Amino acid sequence: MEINFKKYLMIFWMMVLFAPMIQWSLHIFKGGELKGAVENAPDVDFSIKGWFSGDYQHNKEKYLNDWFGFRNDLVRLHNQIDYSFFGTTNANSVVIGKDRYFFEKGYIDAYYGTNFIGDSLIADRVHKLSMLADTLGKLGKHIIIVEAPNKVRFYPEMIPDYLRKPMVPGNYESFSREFNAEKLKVFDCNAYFAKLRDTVSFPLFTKYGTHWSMYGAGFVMDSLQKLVAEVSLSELPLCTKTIDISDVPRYTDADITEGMNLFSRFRGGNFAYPQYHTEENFTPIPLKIVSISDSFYWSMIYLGFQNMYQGNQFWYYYTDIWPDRFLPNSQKMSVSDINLQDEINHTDIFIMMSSEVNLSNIGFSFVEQAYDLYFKK
Amino acid sequence: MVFSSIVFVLYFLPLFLFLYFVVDRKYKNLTILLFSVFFYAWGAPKFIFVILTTTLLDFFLVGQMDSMTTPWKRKILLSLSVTVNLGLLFYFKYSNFFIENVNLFLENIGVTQISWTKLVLPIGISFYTFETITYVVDVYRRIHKPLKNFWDYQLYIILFPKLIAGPIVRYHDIADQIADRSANENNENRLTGFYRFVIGLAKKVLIANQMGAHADLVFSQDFHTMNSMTAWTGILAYTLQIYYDFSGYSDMAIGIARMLGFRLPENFNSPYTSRSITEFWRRWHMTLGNWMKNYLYIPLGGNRVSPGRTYFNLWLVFVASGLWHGASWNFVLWGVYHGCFLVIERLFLSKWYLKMGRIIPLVFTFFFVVIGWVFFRIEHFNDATNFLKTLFSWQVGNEIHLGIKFIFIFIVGLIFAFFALNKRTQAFQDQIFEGSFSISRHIVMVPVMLILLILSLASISSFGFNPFIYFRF
Repeated sequence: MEINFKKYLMIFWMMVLFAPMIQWSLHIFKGGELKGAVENAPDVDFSIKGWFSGDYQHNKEKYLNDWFGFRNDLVRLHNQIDYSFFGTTNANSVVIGKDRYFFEKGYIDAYYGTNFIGDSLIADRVHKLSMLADTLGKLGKHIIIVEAPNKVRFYPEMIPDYLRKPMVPGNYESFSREFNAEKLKVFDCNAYFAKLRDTVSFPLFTKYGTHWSMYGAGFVMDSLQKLVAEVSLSELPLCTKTIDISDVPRYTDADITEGMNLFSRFRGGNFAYPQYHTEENFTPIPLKIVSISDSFYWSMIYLGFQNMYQGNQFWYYYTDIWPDRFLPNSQKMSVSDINLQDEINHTDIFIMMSSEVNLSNIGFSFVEQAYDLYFKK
Repeated sequence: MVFSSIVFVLYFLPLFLFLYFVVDRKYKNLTILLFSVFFYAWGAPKFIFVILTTTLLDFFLVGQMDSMTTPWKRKILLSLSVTVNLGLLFYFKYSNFFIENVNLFLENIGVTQISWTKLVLPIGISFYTFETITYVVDVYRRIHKPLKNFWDYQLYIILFPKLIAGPIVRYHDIADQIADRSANENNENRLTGFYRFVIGLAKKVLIANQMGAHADLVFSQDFHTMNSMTAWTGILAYTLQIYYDFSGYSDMAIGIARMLGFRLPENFNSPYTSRSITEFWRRWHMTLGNWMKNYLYIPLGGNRVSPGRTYFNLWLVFVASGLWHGASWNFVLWGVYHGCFLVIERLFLSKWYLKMGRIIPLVFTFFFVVIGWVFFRIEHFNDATNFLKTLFSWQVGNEIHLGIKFIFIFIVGLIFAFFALNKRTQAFQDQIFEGSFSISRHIVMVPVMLILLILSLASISSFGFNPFIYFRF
């Protein structure tokens, strides 16, 4: 009996060792995909040259590492253990704060002024922006600057102790000061959220997301519509707003935790989702708006800001264009393909939105290129 | 290919074991040989030819030597074989170091430097060179007859479990097993060997890698502005890293070999429980210590010479041992440091220790070993002294956040490093590693090993490539 038992036990262990290879070949169990910036290595063809240079082995090993059976589940298991037992995460630059509030490290650095680029550089950039706004203003075009809020600034009490340090004024303070000095049209969402904080029914930032909550984004959208109406002397879009309550986070409300690749899904508390409704015969406001922003602006898209106006383009990081536009050869157009002068001529309002981590680069070189069009001889 | 990689654990190992278990007994050695060649060539596709050529030459020389009866002729062939092997080791491992130092000297006296293209170190050359020397010396000493079949000799050298990071297997310890190990080829050994492999994998992946990540972070900081406590956590993390990394590898090597029916010598025996540096070297990298004793210390005269000469021999062996670890002055310094302790212990320290009870010598020895690792870890002498200053200055400076995970694994690492201090726990450990298992014990081991294996694979999946520290030696 003992001999048979050991034989079968050894067969069991061999099956355990072979299981990932079998799963890799036959895909017996359906596993979930990993989220985040994950790019699995491609397979590699064998060549004598590649073998002797070691490139083949190196690349093949990468490929086998990335594709073996149960890999995604094992990665999730590793992350789940680290999170559940040790309160840590392996996701790049994610920080777990007090009471399990999640932050991105870059926002903590920005809050403490670690990425400060200096007053003189900021004054120079804002002055350039101001000159551009003046010039466009004379042409009946407007620039609205939106400083997206920093979750760390909203919940500073949730910063973990080991990352706390003395605060020094950073880009946010310096840019805000210069924007005011140059009398630019600015919407400071940090200040706005701080004012709203004790009056709202749902969180303006969720524990699990790095962006504003969709509920918070709704307030921003309302204010942005008012700002657009104010600068362009146009009507406010005719729409009604309702709130949908859910116990499951949607859109970007758990964007940090999604990227942590855990088994468990983050729930808890209520999440509020504004919905904008228009009448059947609704006519969009006859304005053409171009928004140049980092990822914060996607929330405006999800809420339907673009449906309120006749023309609305989103130039994501001043690189990608949304909605898609195509070149004559059917390839997707990017911002580098456009004729900037033409675009400016056909646009009424430019919204430049930036989070605190990207504030030093607000406009993502749009300002410099547009400035050159008007001021460079 | 490293043992703690996905390609090894989930592709190479299962395919190899399956084939090895199903082929007829007469093809088993051939199977190991082919997989061993592939294993080495995967990581060093060009250097495989160096091994194949030198083993052929050695086999021929040793065969000739054994057939001769004239002592001086035997001695010439012995010298020739040793010179070829050590020559290759010196060429690949030490020529960069030698030329760098010569150039430094020439620069200082204003003479043109020697131009030189840096050589790449073949993986595991230090290990297999020492093994080839044991073959020729053991045959020369008539301890064992030479192998009749070249492929058997090739298998001894290239046996993949121990090829690139030991244990250093002396020829006479394994010669008979190459010819016939049928007595050890059973499911009991396969299972216990597999358990040993999984334990080694867990030691490497779950402890050493975690400690290594912290140590790397600490040693990449500026030592001048570093908090002393951070420096201590760094060197203690490294102390655990190097132990679990190397002993983990040895466990994996011994485990795989046992699955094939081989009995490889142990390489570690709870070294941090030593109560003197002399004892530490009987417990740390035991196969290197034995090699140094049998093939260097004893031929130098050992302790059958005058006390002064004995001390010199001891010291010299440790300088050589340091240099074996790497072609760099910090390894020489580390060897000198340990060699000095061995001499001091022989002179008086061991007698003092005897009067101090059990705990104080243990603490002192651990402390001295930890300080020794500073020289081992930090390449440049000035940096090492700066780090030592930071350790003992108790300065307040930049601090690195430890995190619960590090603290937890650090404590687990410390517990298991000192697990064998107690006789009962030592006996328990011996049972796990060496004892035979009843059915009920196997049943207990299944979930334990399954958890360790899954956790290790989960960690490797997330970490990616995990090179072993000892591969560069």
